[in-house]
Amino acid sequence: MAAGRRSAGVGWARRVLLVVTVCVAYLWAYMAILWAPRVDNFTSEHAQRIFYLHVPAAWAMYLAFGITFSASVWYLRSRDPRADAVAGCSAEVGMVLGTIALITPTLWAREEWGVYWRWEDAKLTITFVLWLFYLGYLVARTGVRVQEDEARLSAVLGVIGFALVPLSFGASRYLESLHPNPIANPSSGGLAAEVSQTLLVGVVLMTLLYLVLLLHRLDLKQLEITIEDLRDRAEAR
Amino acid sequence: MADGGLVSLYAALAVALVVLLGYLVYLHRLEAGLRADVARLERAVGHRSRGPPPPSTRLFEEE
Repeated sequence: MAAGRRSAGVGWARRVLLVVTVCVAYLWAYMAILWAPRVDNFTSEHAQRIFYLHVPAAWAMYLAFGITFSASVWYLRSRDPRADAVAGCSAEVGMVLGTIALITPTLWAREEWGVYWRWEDAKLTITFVLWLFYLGYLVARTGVRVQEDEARLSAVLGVIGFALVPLSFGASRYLESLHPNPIANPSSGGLAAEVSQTLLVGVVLMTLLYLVLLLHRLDLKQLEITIEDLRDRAEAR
Repeated sequence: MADGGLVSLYAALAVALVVLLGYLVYLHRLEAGLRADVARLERAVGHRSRGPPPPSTRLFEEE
């Protein structure tokens, strides 16, 4: 009875989370497309607004891979299957958000630099390698059939791969890159209040979106585990 | 005359939506397939009608 009430409460909280995410999405769209002022550093008046999508998506990608790293460390210490589930699901959602973070700024680059991509740019290339690494991570999770081996290998990869996150984040600061610095320089006046607020709403939106997708993916992971259990029992009969 | 930057902005928004919707469709199809498998296997095992309930395999217990 108490479990039933608790389950209904969790379902209700998930619906509220979804509604809040949709409301924040509308607010973000208004702020990013209509409200935020032009930033003078860039030539294209409209294409620069792509940053309100790209920066929060990149933040959510780093967050997702950070959660994968933490869950992988948790798994290696405890061998807890919940940790393996969180690591895998978070990496998958991170890949989706990372795809948005990688593709959308190419359209801005075409307007600003005249090309979609610059392989000689350290920031772009390292971030692409990061994305490829986690693609390999997801393939590795499906490639190894023995469950314990799969989880251990995935956890090791989840820990190793995270080394690319600070490299990707800091590349434009410490390596040769045309990519705008992710940390605004306070000595140059920083960002306008409206720009910061729009970016903040974008970051909140992408964090909520990450949570919604992660929770849904974990539900499906639960179904996968139930199926494995039922298969074992069907074979044992 | 359409501004190239405006076209890029809407193209970027469209790309993000397509990626997101594509993932949601994938999740929806995955869920449908998994639920069908669960129903089929539950019928095969018949655990709903016979014997004591199996030990819990829930990742995150609700109690």
